Amino acid sequence: MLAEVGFVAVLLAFAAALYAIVASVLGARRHHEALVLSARNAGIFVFVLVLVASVALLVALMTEQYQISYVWAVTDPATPDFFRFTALWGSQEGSLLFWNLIMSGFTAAALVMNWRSQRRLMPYVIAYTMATLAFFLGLVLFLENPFTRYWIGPDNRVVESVLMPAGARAPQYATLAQSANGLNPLLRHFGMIIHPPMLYLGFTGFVIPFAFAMAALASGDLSTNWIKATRRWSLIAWIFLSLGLILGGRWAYDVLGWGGYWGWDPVENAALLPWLIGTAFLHSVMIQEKRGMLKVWNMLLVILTFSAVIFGTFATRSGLVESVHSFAESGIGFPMFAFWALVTLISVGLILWRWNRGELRDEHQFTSLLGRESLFVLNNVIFVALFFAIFWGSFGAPIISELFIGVNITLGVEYFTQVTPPLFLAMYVLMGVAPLSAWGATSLRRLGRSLAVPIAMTLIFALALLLLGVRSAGALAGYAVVAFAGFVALFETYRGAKARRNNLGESWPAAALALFARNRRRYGGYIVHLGITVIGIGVIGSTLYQQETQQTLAPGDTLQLAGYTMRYDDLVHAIAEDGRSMTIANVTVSRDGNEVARLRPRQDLYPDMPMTIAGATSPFPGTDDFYVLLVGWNDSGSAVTFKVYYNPLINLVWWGGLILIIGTLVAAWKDEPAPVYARQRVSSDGKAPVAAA
Amino acid sequence: MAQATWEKGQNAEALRLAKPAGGRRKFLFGGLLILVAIIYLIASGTMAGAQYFITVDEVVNNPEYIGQTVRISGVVLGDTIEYDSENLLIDFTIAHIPSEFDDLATALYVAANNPDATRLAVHIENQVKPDLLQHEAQAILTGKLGEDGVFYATELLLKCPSRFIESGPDGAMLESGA
Repeated sequence: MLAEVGFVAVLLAFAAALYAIVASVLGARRHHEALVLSARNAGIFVFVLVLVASVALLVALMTEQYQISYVWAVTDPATPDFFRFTALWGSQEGSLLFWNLIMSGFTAAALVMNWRSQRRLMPYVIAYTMATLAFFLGLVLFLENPFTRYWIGPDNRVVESVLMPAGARAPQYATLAQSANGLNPLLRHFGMIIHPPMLYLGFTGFVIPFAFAMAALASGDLSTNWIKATRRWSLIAWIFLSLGLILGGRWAYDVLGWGGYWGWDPVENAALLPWLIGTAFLHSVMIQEKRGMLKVWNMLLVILTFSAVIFGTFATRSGLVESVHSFAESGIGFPMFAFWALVTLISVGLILWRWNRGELRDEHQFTSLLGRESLFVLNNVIFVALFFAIFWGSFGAPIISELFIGVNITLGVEYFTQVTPPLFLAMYVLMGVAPLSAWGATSLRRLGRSLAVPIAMTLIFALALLLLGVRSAGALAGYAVVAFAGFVALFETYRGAKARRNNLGESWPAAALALFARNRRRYGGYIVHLGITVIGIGVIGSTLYQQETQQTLAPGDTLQLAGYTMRYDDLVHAIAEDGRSMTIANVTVSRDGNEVARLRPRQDLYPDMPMTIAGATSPFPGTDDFYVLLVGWNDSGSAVTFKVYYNPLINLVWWGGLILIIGTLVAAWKDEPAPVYARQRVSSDGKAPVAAA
Repeated sequence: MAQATWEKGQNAEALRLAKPAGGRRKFLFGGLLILVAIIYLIASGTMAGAQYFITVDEVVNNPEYIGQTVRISGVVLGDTIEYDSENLLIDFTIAHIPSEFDDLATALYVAANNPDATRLAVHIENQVKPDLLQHEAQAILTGKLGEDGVFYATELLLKCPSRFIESGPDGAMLESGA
């Protein structure tokens, strides 16, 4: 019954999406309001139907309906309820349905929330979002259906179909339950529970800005309406994409057991690509809003972001790349590639059409190399350069070499570690300088005056590092450049609060709070910059100063690493509730004779699965991490081999991520209106208060 | 207030600084310089990081690959795996994966069970034995072929299609007579 409910719901959702496309386009062309309204309702109904299908699959997972092939493939009777729930996105078919659920949710929310304010754009927004949804629902319906069931055919062979074939019978439940697969152990981790939904929310969220941009091109409303309508949607998508990337890094760090969090794997890179372009977009739309410039560029960026989302999905799900993160090779590769190519071609074609008609002309010209818009463009160039460099290294070089010289050439980690650091450092420099520049034009002298204090703070910071023992010129330069961006953010916030304090007599906390309340976009942005700074310092520290050792110890033996002493105490074996057998080593870490932490690195062996999960531990509340892997042991536990990493500053990567999310939430929140007296002052003397700047 | 006042002053200055005619050349030159720098960066990185992704057949039968960093793909032969957990050394043998099969699982099965398939001994140091290193797994290795005919790998990526991807309930159900 659940399979039928789910299947029919997806079928109806697919039909509703197709209807919404036709009705919205016809409604717009014929100015038939009722037809557009009907299309909107169909669009919202798609979400309800996909929700029904997802709940049906979830109930099937929770109630162990092993006849449904997806349930059989991703769970078994030993799977705990918690992982039954997360199994919804544990494999290709379920995760595609889940993808549709999130995308249809975003779409329904946008159709409801922007309906009144963006009536002219709405028919086309409906058409674009529904076309995307229809494609992904089609994949679920025709290629990766999670509702197919196992049947025993008349010839005693197992067949897979939603409905019972003629002459077939249902297999015995007990046999199915006994042979069920179970969830991939690598996916049984906290990070994996939240990481995919966050990434999907980020990916699918960008469909809204894309649809609004396309709607602007299709309808001819090329004002900043589409940008105003989508600013928060873009920020929301960006928050989730950032969270997905951070949690994915944390999962890799905890589970994959190689002491790092980012391996320049093609699938990791595929998730980073839309983030880079999305970040460039979030910056460059400000120029269009303030100065009416970069209209074509912004359109291109939003298309490239969505295009990167579809390409990333295609790369991950088609078997195009070899990666620990990718899904199995599947039949959806060609349709997804065709869809990606079609979306990109149509979008670029629409831009060229409007551009040819002269409708995308900028209202101002660039006047100064040091003007804020020039520096923002430079920042965009850096993001786009990072995008192309990473795309080339992950996909471009292998594909082009295979196509044109018949040999597959891949680019190793060395490529990424050589090409990306200069670009990231340039990004940090611009992150510091651009906010201090003025719109229009500014002189070098004036800009230099604004930069004096942050540069002085940076020099003091670099000197402190030198005194603390950092001797590598590269590391010092890296820390200084990254810290500079953070100092600018802190100093600008201080300046703003000080101005309020001086002008309005507010206390420091009140001034700071009012600053964030009245201009959340600007000061939320500074918090984000601070988060990126903290991440940068963590990345430099953990990359350049990681130490590792491996030793075999007897109980009571110790090893030394980075000033820490690790003592191996004993080895215990245990069986977990879900049936996996755990081998746990108890170790004690101390520094200068004082116990710092007790760690329990372990390996898990799943029943009937020759697969173990290496356990790692992050014990300290500080910035550094002592990461212990249990890699070998004898039966009595008298000789146990450990691989140990000391990762300095690595926790700053996670903390920076948290700061970044807080900053984005502040920036996305609606600004408080300026008080009446402040508005009056603006109109009377032409000067705005700090909060409204 | 200070912020806005400051910007306003600068906007006035912007008018004074604006020189559209000469400015365009300045922007073009600057843009070109940045573009060249980025292209150089990517090109030099490509030269440094490029690795041929080849088959076991190709690396074994072409002496020019000896000593050159390459990526190879082969199927793991389970009974050859030796792991020294004390020193973190792994030795195993991979076999050539034929290209005529669309289905990876079948290709891996055929390769692992074909005694005539080209084989290559692999040695990896300082590597914890990965969970997926098992019979019929696809190994993607980065490293160099030594003069002694052993492939010294520095990076190992494994894919195991049999367990979580291709398997269905056919065998189990038919065996139990369901």
